[in-house]
Amino acid sequence: MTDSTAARHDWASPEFSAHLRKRKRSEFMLKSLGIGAISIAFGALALLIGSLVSTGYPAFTQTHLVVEAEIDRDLMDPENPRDGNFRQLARDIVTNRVVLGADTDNTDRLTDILSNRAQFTLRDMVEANPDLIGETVEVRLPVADNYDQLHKGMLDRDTPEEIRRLSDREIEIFDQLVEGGFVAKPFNWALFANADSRFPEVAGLKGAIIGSAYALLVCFLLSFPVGIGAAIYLEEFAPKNRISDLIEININNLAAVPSVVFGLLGLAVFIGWFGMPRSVPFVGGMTLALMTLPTIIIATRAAISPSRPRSAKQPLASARPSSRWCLAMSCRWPCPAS
Amino acid sequence: MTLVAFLILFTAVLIGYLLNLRAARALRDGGARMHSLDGFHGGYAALMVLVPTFGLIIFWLLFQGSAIEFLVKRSLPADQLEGKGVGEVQLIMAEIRSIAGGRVFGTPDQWKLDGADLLVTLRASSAWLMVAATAALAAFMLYVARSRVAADFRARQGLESIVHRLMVSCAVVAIFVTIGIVASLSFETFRFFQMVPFWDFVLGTSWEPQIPIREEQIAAAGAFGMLPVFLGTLVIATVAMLIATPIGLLSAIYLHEFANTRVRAVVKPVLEILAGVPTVVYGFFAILVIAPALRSFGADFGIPIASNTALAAGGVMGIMLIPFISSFADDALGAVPRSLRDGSLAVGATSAETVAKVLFPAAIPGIVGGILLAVSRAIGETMIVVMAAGLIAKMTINPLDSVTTVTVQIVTLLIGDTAFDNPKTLSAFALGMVLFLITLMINVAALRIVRKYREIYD
Repeated sequence: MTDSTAARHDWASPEFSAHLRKRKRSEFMLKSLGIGAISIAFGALALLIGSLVSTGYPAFTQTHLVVEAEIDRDLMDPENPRDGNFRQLARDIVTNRVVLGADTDNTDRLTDILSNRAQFTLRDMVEANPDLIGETVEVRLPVADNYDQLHKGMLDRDTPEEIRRLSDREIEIFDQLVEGGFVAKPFNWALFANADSRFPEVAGLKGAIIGSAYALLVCFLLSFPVGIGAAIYLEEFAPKNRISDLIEININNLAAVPSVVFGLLGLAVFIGWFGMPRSVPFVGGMTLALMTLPTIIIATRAAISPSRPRSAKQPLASARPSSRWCLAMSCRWPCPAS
Repeated sequence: MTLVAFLILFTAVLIGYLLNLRAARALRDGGARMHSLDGFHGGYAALMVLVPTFGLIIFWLLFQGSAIEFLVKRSLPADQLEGKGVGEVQLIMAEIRSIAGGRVFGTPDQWKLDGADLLVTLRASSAWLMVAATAALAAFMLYVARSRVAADFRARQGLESIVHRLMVSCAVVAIFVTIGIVASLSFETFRFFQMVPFWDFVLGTSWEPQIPIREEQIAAAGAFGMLPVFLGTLVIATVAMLIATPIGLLSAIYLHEFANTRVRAVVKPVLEILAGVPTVVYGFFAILVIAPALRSFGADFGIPIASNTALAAGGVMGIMLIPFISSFADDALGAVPRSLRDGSLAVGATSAETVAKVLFPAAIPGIVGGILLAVSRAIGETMIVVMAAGLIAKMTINPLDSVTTVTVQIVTLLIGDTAFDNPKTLSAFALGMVLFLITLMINVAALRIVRKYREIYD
């Protein structure tokens, strides 16, 4: 009897140390599993950001052809430069100025080097400054999508010619241009200054950015005041009864309703019933406001609820609702703004 | 004109404030004992003007379009509209609108030109009427507010009661949103069930909603069985939860039990970044990085993997949900009373044993609540699946295959111009209704579990 008790308390016995090893192992296991889980999450994040950056960064530069070119007087009327033949001008810039001695039968393929928008870039330039007509100036013109990709190294030169988007000859001509120093790769301002386009090399985000900004503005103007008003009411004034309970449960549920359901609400109510026009930022913004409202209310309530200064000034606060609004908001301004 | 109306509104508010402020100040200077401070008199007038007038402008802007449309439609000759469907009438109205906007194509009929003229006149007069009504109401409210300034007028209480009512209506907006959701969904769903039998929708195993809108169009015969769509949602949500739950829970346990404060301070915010990435970026990631990788991986082993496999969409959704689950689990573990933990450690349990045998069981309700909320998110998640999941509904539970989800179907059904008179559009509302009900049930259950559990320890 005493023996067995002693054995059980013998910390150095082999069984006991085996047991201890097992416990330590399971501790180690759990710890490594946790580290493994976090590493997986970090790895996913790194992969996400890495793939975004590596596939996205070339969009921030734009390949340009930078050449000295004469704005040919014969192609346009100085009185009315808008109607000039800028298509021909763009063609001449490539064929005459740059690829001297190139195969002239191939003229049409050569002009493919420039973006379809290049003629309009030239037109806008001349229209803005008609004095340029007849002068020789430096022009910067975006090159077409395929050449843009080639210059950015996104077009594999080892692909068999028949399935490549550019032929060997086209690549050769473009390489001559690059060697001649006529190709530059500046920052792609067009990405922010242009609206969407059928031509990838000149497509930009301007329309999308403006649309988002309008929708956000409407959403903010609606949901921010309403959300804060509701939060202050629920946190400070609402009596504890069925109705305020209902409102609270309701808000928590709304916060978890899928966004697509809010979309259906906006479609049915604003567009279907009220007959508002489609695709206007106002309707989108209102729908977004309804969607963000519960989140704003919850965040604002969380921000104003533990306000200690209020309890310190309770006697004053209970006397005057107006001071309670000010107190509730003034101590916690930065939080609801987030 | 709208701008003019708002200008009138803000000038009137300013005038009201200054007018009443001065009147109150004059009374006070005249030796009267005022009940309220001058500022409250001013604020009272400002709100008295602002609230009704602002409401009038908003009301006008919301409804003038429909009212004008209605009047124009009524003025059209009855024989032209006779026997025409909703779509054709809408086309006629669109033509009249574009004529009114100065874009005339061909030679429209005289009655359309008349309609366009009427539309232009009505629009102009509506704008003028709005300005006039705004000015009249503002002036009236100014008069009312000004006439109330008196020594014993309780301006502060008046102001406070207006603000109080405003705040109550803000809080009630949330209820109206829910009512709006339920009303709009059930109204359109009801109309859908008038065209498609209820049981065909609930128990049907075939989903081919791309039915012809015009008669001569060639399209699917139309089948509205929701089961394959929900099965697809379930497959993707399951994949997502299988990834998010273990990773989320294990990282929460590590962070809570083993990590020191420095590690926590770095790891937690980095995990939160995963929650802050816009879902459209995740969708992009799934379709351009994960799906091709899985496909070529499968090809190496001779397993055919669809290019928009449920694994890619579900896996990426799982990554998105990791921080969601881990922060819920972390909170739940943290809410377990310290005494339980200390007691376990005091009798010699290792940290791992404490977590596994004491903290985790105690925190299970909170964790389950968090997981349920994550499930409801996975079911309702839209953008990732729109980009990365398939469009064809299949009765399959194979995650390597391409499946579609409820949200994807809703989005595809509603893309483009949609009329509210065919089952194709309305079926989106029926799907939305079921989605809403399912997520609502999960949310209510989750919130209830979390709440109850908090009460035990609070």
